[in-house]
Amino acid sequence: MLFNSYTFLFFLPVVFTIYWLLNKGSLRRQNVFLVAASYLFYGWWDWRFLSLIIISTLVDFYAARTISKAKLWLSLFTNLGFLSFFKYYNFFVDSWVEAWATVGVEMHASSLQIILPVGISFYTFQTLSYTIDVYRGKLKPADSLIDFAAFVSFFPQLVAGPIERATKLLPQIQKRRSFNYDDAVSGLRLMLWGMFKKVVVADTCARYADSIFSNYSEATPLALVMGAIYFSFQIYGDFSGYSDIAIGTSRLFGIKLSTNFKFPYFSRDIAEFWRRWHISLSTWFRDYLYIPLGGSRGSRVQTLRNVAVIFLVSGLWHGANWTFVAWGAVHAVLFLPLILLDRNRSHTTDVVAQGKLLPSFKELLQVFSTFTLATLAWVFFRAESITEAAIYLKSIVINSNTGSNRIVLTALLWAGVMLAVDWLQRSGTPSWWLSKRATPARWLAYGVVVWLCLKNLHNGSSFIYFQF
Amino acid sequence: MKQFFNRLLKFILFLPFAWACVFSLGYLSPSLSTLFIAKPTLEGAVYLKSREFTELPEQDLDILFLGSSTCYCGIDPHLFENAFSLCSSAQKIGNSREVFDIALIHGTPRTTVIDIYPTLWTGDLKSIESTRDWIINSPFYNSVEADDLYSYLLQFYFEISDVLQIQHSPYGAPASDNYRGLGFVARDKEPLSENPCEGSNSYSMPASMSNALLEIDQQTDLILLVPPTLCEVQWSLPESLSHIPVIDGASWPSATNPSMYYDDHHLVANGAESYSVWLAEQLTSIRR
Repeated sequence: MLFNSYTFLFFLPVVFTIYWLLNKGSLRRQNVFLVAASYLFYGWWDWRFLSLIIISTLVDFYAARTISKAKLWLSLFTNLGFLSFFKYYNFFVDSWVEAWATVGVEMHASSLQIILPVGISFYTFQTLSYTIDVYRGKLKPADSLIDFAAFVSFFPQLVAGPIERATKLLPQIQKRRSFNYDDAVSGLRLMLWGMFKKVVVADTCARYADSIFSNYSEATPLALVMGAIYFSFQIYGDFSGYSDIAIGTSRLFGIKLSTNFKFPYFSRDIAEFWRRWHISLSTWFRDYLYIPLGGSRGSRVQTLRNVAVIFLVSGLWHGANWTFVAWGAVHAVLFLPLILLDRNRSHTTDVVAQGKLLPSFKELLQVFSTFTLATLAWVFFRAESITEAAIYLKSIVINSNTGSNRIVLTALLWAGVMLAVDWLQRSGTPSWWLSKRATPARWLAYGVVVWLCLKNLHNGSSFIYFQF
Repeated sequence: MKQFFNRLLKFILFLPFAWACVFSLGYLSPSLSTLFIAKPTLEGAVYLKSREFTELPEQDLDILFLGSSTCYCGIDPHLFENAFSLCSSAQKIGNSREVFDIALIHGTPRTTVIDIYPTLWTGDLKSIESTRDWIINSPFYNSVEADDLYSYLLQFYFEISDVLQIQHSPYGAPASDNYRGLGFVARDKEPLSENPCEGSNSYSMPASMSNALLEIDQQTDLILLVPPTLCEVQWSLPESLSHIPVIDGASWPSATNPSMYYDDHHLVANGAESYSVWLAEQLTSIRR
């Protein structure tokens, strides 16, 4: 089920109402209903793949009950086994055959027609964090299978995150929730804002990004630049929009999820960008891969190696294609010099133009250059192949095509609105700037946003991160 | 909880006021109308062909063409006798069913040729793109059935527009599109030099679509047309349509000639002319 669909518009109020009616009963009944609603939400796409979630849930629940090294391996083997098979089998087989072909050895291996289960990378990482944390003694194993199943399958964040840690989400699920008016209202606001980012900004930009990327060989240099910029706004609107809707929906159910994006396009260097982009994934890799590898405790070379590994694995996590690995590698190349210069932690606590309305010239230059680098790296993420990405980037510089430069004011206007609202909220926790206005003015603004969402809702386009 | 629902209800009741403000902006300025409501456009030429159609002389059409872009830029009705094309972008069979009803303002056409592009057989019976095209660009905005809330609101917006007699001019079509009248758009684009297709796809028409065709068949002589494409397409129709003549565009002698196309399924102007001449011969032999 997609958030940006009429089905969800019907599903949510029904589930919300029943959920709070059940609140008068026991916590167990509330969680049983949450699991049922989550399975319905996921099964709406393809009920057969519910079996994977159920198997992961059972294996991890029982493995953690009497955790041992062997049971941890069982959990890792099961979860990563599913992920490897469904997501990477064809990729590894094809890459293996191609690798031998480059040295003149012909190999034959047949790839399989495998459907990628939606959100498998997200819920696999979430449930893995549970068994690892129990093994490390950071978390007590869950007593109730229902509570644990609700943690694994909690529908707002099931298919595209934020990837929640058991230490944060499970205690909320194990505790009886009571309705909180302020949380529910702020949840609705966040959902509306997320919907605007997805259906108005991302889907509008997607139309032009798709058209430029699919005809890049005929596009002018400026059109190619615009294509990359549209994609930057598309992916940010799409993914952070999904996260906002997920966080907002959770608040309606009395559950608080982690912030996943903190205005990444206002970062002053790539290190800051990665502290603000897809935070739940970055911190997952930090805690479960980077630190076990040694983190920054060893020599400088070891630190560089560990960071490079994180970026490459993070790229591969996004998709079974070398373009994603290349995207990760580009970010590693941009990040590693900051470590060498000891500048990777220059902007850890403050935000750009802290306490001011406008940035200084220096800050503006830093933000602009970081955005430019991130945008150029997105070309690898969006392209079908590394060759295509390389030609795309080369054509920005060397190209004699003429024609439309594809500067679409509507797309830039809506992206501008998104960035302007982000800018006003960038200090501190996301406080809703508009919430301080008088009710009629606020409601008028919300009404216009609802209108714009309805206008664009017919696209019914999927979220980019569903494929991961 | 009660306070939350009360507040939510009040907000929902407030929405029409907010949307009335959006409507007002749209009536005041064409740019704001485009930004917030809809963009009337000459692209696909529904704006032009629907108005031309209302001005046709009062006589029954011999041939009415319905279908998607493969039809309006592939079939030139000038090469047929007393014919008109109400084909439009992404017009699926469900949309054609509604456009057929619109066409009845000129009486029942003797023959209706529906271009059934197999790629459009998947998904819903109707495409929202086509529905909105007819609501936004044609004077028949109330004759198509809105399937979503926004399309209803659009119909309401244009109703008030008519009452207030506010008409915003449409945006132009791409330079390569030349509207030649009778619903035909000639596309002056660079023809292909080679066939870009690999492999083939197969499609079966779902029952909902064949039922819509049978409804049309009860009112007119229906002929189905599968347009030529460069990519190999395998298709099959349900048994219930076996009595309806079908012309397979793949039999057109130039169907696999890339220079007739500007992409894998759209014809350039020269291709459309050659294809239309061939199609006219096929129709003559079927209708005889």
